[in-house]
Amino acid sequence: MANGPVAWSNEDAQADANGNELWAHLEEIVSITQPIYDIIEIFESSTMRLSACFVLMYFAEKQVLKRVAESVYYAHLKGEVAMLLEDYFDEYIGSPLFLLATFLDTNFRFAFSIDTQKVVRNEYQRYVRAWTGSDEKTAMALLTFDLFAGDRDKLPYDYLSGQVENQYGNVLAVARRILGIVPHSMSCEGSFSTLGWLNGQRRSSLGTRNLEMSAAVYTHLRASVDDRPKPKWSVGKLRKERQQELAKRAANRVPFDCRRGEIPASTSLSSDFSIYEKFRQKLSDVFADPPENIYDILEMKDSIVLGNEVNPHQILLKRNYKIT
Amino acid sequence: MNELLNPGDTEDEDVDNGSCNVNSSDGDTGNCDHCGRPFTPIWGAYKKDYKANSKIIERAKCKFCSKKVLPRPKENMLHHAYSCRLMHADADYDFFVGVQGQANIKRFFGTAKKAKTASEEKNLALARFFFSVGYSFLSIENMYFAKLLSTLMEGNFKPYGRRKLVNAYLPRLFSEIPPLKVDSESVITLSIDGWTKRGSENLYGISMSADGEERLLKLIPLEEKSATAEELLKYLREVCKDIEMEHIGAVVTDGASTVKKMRECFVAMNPSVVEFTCCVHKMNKLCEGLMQLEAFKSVKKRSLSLNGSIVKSNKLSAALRRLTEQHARNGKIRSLEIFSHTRFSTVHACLRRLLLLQQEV
Repeated sequence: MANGPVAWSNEDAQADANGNELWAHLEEIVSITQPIYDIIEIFESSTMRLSACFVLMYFAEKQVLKRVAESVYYAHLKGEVAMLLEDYFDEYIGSPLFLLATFLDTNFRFAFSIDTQKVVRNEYQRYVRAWTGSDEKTAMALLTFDLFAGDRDKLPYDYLSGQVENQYGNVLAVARRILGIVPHSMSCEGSFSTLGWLNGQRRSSLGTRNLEMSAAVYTHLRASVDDRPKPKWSVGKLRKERQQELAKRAANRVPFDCRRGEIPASTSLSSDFSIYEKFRQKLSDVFADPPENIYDILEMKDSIVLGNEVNPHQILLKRNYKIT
Repeated sequence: MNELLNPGDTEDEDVDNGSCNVNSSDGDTGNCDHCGRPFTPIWGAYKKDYKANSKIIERAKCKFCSKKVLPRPKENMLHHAYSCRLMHADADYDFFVGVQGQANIKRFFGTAKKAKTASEEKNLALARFFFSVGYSFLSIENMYFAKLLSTLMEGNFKPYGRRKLVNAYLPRLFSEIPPLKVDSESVITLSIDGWTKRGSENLYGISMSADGEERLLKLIPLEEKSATAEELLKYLREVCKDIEMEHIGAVVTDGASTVKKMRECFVAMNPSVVEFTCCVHKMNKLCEGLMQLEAFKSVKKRSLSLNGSIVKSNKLSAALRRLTEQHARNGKIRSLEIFSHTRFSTVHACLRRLLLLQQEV
């Protein structure tokens, strides 16, 4: 297109389109941020749980860190990226509530470290105390919890459904309550999206009460007829397409000389190395045996791999991931 | 005719006529508990004209044309109903089709009730259509729309106005929405967020998620008030009055300081509830932070500039479309995307699409 008869109005943009430098850098940046984009899309589901949120965030952060470290042009940024990720670690991955939720969800076969297990137990105690308001009940619940913690690895992943008889009544009740929480406020965003559509140009004078009722009626009417089949897509086909695309791109790429570009070249090691290593260690410390990928924590071996990346949501969807 | 179909709605039916003041058990016909046999439903279209100082009904007075007819036999009132023009003008067509040829009072009212249901169903169906699409409410008064309906219904239906649509049918459809089923073990997640309506009116919405279902609970116009944590907490607690507290599991909001403070106060009052920042908002912030890194920033800026110079130029867009059509992948024609600075995912999607169309660009 650049060599065609159509003239570009922006010369810089034309130069970028014709060159290789920008494309090479763009590919790396897209690759680094891709795990986060993937999980944002998955997070918006109304059946998302705290445990799944924890797992997805854990692997997304790990992937981002890994990709930055392996990047040709941006490896020197791994310290800065690790610092950024660490800010988000404490609120979700390191949060006692999220850890407790993951511990109670036997879909995930994590081997938690001793320190993490202590945090989880304390959080369980705090939660039950706040919920029941009774020290006696909390003490009873803790006994059951200890029994559950010992048997956790042997339990079937669907013990939460209540179909399997078990002796962890208290734990089951707490698990159902915590895993019933939706970790996002997308219900508000979705409602506002509907309101924005209803309060369009042609219905701009609708009052607030009428708008509220319209949104409720609209949602109800649409929900009752929305039984269209969900689009089917083939994972194998997508994977093949993605691999072909990557191979094609690799073959067409002209070797890039970073000295000519405006963008700073990568450095193999930097002073940020210690920060990066520290955060990596922090991520690993959550578990006794840190999982490398999602296969390590799921029993199912026929998991879906999209391109070179794991798509955990598909795995969760494949399993009957529902509390009844 | 509505009075005929809903006889109970008629004003001062009994009071005027000096009938019994004891609470009526049968509102439709104005009967009272201790006055013997119930009145026939045809009285819904007539007023009772009593003999002076007596309980004897001397005449039946038509509510539409004020004509007085003998109340006995009851078929007198039915015959007048056939011929009363004012009653005809106010009636549904279906109703009168039903009336034709009916000589028996019981059959007459059986038909009238059926006609009422059918007519109301049509009105409701029209309302449902308008509330499920984004058309202007004014289009219900469009002449050609009325003609279309009239043609389709062979003259049996005439649409009502937009005021009736909004003032009568919207509350009715709203009242028909079944309440959210909350099982004994359901956990409700409450969320609150701000939104700006057309005309820059600031609103706050409170919604809930439970068992995979999401629902907007309340839309609060701020009007002249400020969105302080205290004010928002007051609204949230008001909404919670309709929900059993033990079902509320968490309050999740974005990272704004006022709502953050609000949810902290809420949790302090209700210790069994947990609170945290929405993970999607947080991930958006993380990506925003990543893209703010100096090295990423320049690449992002240049890439978006390249994207913008193609999207905004009609010539370049047309040329790109031609090329993408030639190289369509699996029959899919992809084009460049536009983005919003406040939504990271749109920036990422835009960059990814640009990369996908590298060859064509």
